Amino acid sequence: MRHLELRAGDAESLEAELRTLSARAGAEAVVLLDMSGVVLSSFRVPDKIDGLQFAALLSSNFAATEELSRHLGVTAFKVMYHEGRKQNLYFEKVDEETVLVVLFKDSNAMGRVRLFCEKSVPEVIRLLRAVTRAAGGAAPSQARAAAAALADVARAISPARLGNGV
Amino acid sequence: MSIHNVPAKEITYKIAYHGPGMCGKTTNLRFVHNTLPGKQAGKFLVLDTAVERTLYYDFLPLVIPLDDGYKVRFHLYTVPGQSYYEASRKLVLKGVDGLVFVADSHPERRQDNRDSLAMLKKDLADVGIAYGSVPIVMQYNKRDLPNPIPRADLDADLNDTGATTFDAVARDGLGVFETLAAIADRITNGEG
Repeated sequence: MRHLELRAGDAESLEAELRTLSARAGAEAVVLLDMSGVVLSSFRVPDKIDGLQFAALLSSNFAATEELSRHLGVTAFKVMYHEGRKQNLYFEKVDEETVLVVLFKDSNAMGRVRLFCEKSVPEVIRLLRAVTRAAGGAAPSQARAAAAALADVARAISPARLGNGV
Repeated sequence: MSIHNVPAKEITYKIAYHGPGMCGKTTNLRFVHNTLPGKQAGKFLVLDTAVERTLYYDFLPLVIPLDDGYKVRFHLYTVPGQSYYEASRKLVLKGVDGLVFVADSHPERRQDNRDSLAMLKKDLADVGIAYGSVPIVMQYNKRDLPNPIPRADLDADLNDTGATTFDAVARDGLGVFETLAAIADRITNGEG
């Protein structure tokens, strides 16, 4: 099992890079996603958007295009673009596990967004390389406490009527 | 891949429920969603077809808030059980930290269970994960049926890794949280 740990400096550096990209590209919001559907960093995502669902949908959306490229037998698509009436979404693959997503208004040029995303990706890659990616090992004590809390819920609401034990 | 955001005090894990179509995967998540308070269970996202089969996936984010300010998140996904949704299953399996295999105890679904497990192994391999390298818990659902498949047969058919197994009637919530708690325990104990 892989584990990624974002420390304070990593988080600040990534957010600063997304802030810079947002300003240069004229973006409304920028999100850096792990392909498992988790936000690694974001800048100015509107409060009205449910960030967890947004991230899950964005990552699976991009993953679907990768599957599509495999079906077509072509090199994996590097970018994806959705054009709406007022807002657009631009996706750019950072590496095998990460994708950059920019939300921008239709008054902005897609070429501008693409240009500055391409310029930003190498820096994002450099920053991600600094993030710990270790195999397995013990989870933080907080994670084990959360699992214990779920076991408490199981004991409280679902007595062992089927002979199960936790 | 678990993600620990230290400054945000958040740890996130991804759990996927796998199994044949209509075996009760979505029912598991729906029970969790309906049981936990709103602060712990986020919005339940269901992407299904007109015949109520999961098209892409279901997504239920759980958060367990702790006294020290930490939030531990378990992102629960189901995969579409029908064989022709292979692409959708694979995208859900990307970066998965733990698996729940939900088997259907209906006697006529024995082969469907076996086929689904074979698909899981293939789908995992396709996304670069070896079966057995990720924690897994087996749930034998629909145990209230008149003549369910005997447990020994389910074990022989499906449980080749000696995973923990749970009987369940997910429709009534029986076994749902035991299963979830068990996979959370396996993941957070660093198994796999």
